[in-house]
This record gives sequence, C-alpha cells and structure tokens, in this order.
Amino acid sequence: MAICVAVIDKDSAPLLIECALSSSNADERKAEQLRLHFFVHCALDIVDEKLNPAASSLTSATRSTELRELYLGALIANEDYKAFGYATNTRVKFVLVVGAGNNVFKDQDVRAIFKRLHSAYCDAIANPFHAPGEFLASRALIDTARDVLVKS
Amino acid sequence: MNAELPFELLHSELVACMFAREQETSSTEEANATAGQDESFLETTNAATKLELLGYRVGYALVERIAKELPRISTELDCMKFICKEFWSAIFRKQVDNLRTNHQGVYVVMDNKFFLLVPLSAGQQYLTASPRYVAFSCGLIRGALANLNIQSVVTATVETMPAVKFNVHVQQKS
Repeated sequence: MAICVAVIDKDSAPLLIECALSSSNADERKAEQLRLHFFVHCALDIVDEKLNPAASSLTSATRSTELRELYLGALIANEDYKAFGYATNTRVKFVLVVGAGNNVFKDQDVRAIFKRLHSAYCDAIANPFHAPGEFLASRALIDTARDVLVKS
Repeated sequence: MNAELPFELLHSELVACMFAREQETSSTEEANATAGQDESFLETTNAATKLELLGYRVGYALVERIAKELPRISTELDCMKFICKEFWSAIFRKQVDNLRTNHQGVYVVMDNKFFLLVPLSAGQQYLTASPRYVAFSCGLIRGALANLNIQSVVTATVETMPAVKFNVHVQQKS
C-alpha cells in the first residue's frame, strides 16, 4: 500500500505531500505525518547524491549509463518505509513511500505511477494561475496522488 | 498547417496590442499626472519587456511538458541542443539551422526561416519593426532555460528577414 506521494521543487521546497494515514487518533496522525515528512527528506539526500555524483566515486562510463533514465529506483529503506524516486529534467523530484514489508510494488508499477504523476504535474504547471515555487493546488494533481495512495 | 496558424495570428495581434497600448500611455496627459504614484510594474514597463516576460512564463511551463519523455539532460551543451532540436520543433515546427558556441557560455542560435517572421517579408522591408516580433521568442528561450536551471540573457538580431540570430549568454554561477 502506498503511503505517501511527494513532489519537490528544484530548490528542495515541497510542492505537494499527500499521505494516506492509517490511525484515527489526531495526535497519532500528526506524529505519523511528521515521520513521513522526515523520511521523504532523507530520501531527498539520496536523490541529490544520485543526481550529482562526486567525480571521484564513479567512472565516466558508469555515470553516463546510470543517469540516462528519469526513474531513480529504490532510494532508502528503514524498518517502516521504503522510498522510490524519480527526477525530471527540470530537477523536480517525485518520491513515493511504501510500507517496508510491501513486495507488491514491482519496478514497472512504480514507473507507471511516476509517469502519471509527471503528466499531472505538467498540467498543473501549465495553469496560468500557478506561480512557480508555490504549493501545488491543482485538483487534478491532488486527485491523481490520492488515487495512487488508495488504489493499491 | 492548421495548428500553427492560430498561434501566428495571436502572436501578431499580441504584438500590435502591446505596442498600441504603449503609444497610448506615453502620449496621454494622464501618464504625466500619475507618474508620481505607485503603479504596478506591468503598467510602466515598455511593450518589448512585457512581451519577453510573457514568453518567459510560457517557456517555463512548456519545457516541462516537452522534456517529459526525454532521457536525462546532463550538460549545458545538451540543454542547448535540446532547445535547438526538440523544443524548436515542437514550437516553431522546424529545427534550428545552426548552433555555435565559444564554450565560455555564449551560444548563437541561427534560424534562417523563423516562422513568426516569414509572413512579414523576405528581405529588407519592415526590418525596423522586426525586434518587436522576436521579443516573445527571446522570452520563450529564457524561460525554457530557466526551468532547466540555466540563468541566461537572450537577445536576438535580425539582419535579413526572415533569418534570426538568437544570442544566449549564460550567467555563470560563481
């Protein structure tokens, strides 16, 4: 079950974070939301590492083959959550968080999810009332994100 | 053919409208009277700047959509090549004819048959009016580059219609 979908700007500012929270108690929900935000933040570090590999760590051959794709694959995992990443050419990052024990999500599924999110994001950006850098308030994008969280 | 025509006509009308408004505000007495008050930025800038700003916002949004399917663009030169091929084809229906660089951050993009100028003339006629017709496209390129994380200054020169040379100066991050 997907737990959280996040869209992050090129300056690492969050544009959209949708969580599927399981508990009903308000305090517990806040705590869980905080944990998810923190986890997404950690995943961002890995994304940055993948996008700007230090020159000494990778040979040029491996670097060019690894970075041709937009999909970044599995990022980090702790005992509760696992994160997948996707970074567009405009340095906008998408992070998908799933439960750690979850083996239902295969690579192909995650790629398809990111494709849908990317299309919805392009449409949200094209809205003339949206200023770059603001929080995304597009109904279509929020509905797509909720759809991803609920469907699995 | 049918898809380009609305944009061409809209663009010509946009240029005419902006410049007509500029004429109006500079010639009425009200402009002098209100000069001391706090006017919004859009009221006081000239038409070419407004057109360029419009192009900036449009380019910013368009590049996200156009770069969606492509593999990762890593270097600055790759960015310029993307602008010259995919971006140009998607918007201006053809690829750029020539790209030159001095590898110091200055790129010259040459298009010999710029589709927004083709209906105007093919030669020296209307040469003095041509800058207003390329302002929007300069903004388009600047917006596209900005979304790809490259700050730049884009200007255009027209020597013979309809050939246009866009000069892109990339601001080096120091």
